Amino acid sequence: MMRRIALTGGAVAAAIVTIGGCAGTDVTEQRLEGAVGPEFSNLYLLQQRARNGNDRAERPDRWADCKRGTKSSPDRGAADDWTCVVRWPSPGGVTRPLTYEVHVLPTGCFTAQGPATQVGQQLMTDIDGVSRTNPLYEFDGCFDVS
Amino acid sequence: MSDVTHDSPAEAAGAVRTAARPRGGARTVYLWELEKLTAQWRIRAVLVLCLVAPFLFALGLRAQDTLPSDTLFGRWAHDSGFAVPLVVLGFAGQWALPLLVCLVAGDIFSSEDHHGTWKTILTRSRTRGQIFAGKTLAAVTYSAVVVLLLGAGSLAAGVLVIGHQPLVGLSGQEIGAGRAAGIVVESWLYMLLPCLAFTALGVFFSLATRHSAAGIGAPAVLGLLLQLVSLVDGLGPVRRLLPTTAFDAWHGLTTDPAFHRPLVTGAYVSAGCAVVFLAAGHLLMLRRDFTKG
Repeated sequence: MMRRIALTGGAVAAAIVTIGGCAGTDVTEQRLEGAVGPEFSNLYLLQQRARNGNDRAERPDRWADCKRGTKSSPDRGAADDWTCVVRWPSPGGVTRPLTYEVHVLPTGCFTAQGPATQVGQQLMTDIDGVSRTNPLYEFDGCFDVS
Repeated sequence: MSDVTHDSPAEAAGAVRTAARPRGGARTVYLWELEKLTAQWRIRAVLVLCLVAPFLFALGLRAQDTLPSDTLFGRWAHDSGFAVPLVVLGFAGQWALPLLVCLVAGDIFSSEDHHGTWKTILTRSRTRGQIFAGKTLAAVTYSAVVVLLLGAGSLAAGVLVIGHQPLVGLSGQEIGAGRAAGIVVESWLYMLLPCLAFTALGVFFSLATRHSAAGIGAPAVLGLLLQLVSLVDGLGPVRRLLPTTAFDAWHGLTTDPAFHRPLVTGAYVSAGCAVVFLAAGHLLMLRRDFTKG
């Protein structure tokens, strides 16, 4: 009885992997860029508002360019070697490229970690002197994989 | 009927009871099962825990500096009270909800095996179909109560302990308190659907294995395994058809623009899963030879 259950389970698992393997991944460069770019833009405004107490900050465009780390692999698939470049209006008034390291899950959710030297540490002090979460240090997002 | 007279109060009460309880209804089984459930200390403890645990979690969050940042919205748990019910939701969807739901669904039929009481209840002039319907409805009611209590508890805990600050959504957009509360309520209400699917799984395993430990454990372990399967990349079409995927469908409500396709697919999958496993369970119930114990 147990043997039969194990065999059936193995066969079902093999079938799932075969069918699924043919279908390919749902995580694409385009989908990731469409999520990271706008999210960074929104979070930048949030950070500036908390820091300066006003909405006068310039909104970065919603552009992002995402690539897989290894040169040989195609720019698709869930992995932790994605990097996304966004346009960051630096304090000096010049827009600089900023590279986020992005870990993407097959479910379409990702975690992006930015360079702390530029975007600040995990906690920041807002205009009232209160310690709060720095929106740009690390952020989560999800996109539709269906 | 005010003109009907009775000789004694006891007889009158008896007459009223007979009139109010139609013979052979699944409703009687249902009400009796609910009474049995609410009499168990284990069930009472779970229900109280669903309300209290989120408060302990929120108080724990406030007392320390570290954040549950490996869960969605965990980063914002100190900044907005509305993040708390979503952290609990993300966490509960992994394994806690299937297990909580199957605590009753996986036990409700096999407990009769455990106590050797099938012959007793089957001679109470209720058909097998009625017993199945009544017991299943009781399990579904419990599942719904657990989900709603846990959702209400974590929303209340978040707002009362952390506060009703605006929430930062998964697209970095700021969501006002009113809309954030709406998203939390919608997300938790949606959980009723995958939990219904897991209730059906519990009912099926309870009938198939005739053993409560298997009835409770099997769906919970299966839920965990399916979560692992959905973490394999390249299984897109398969992942969409898994009953566990619906536990993540709420993500789409928190982005801007929102995406609803996973919610729709998840609803169909949950309903389909519930129908299939309830039908299979019903068949097992009708076909079983109870004379052999």
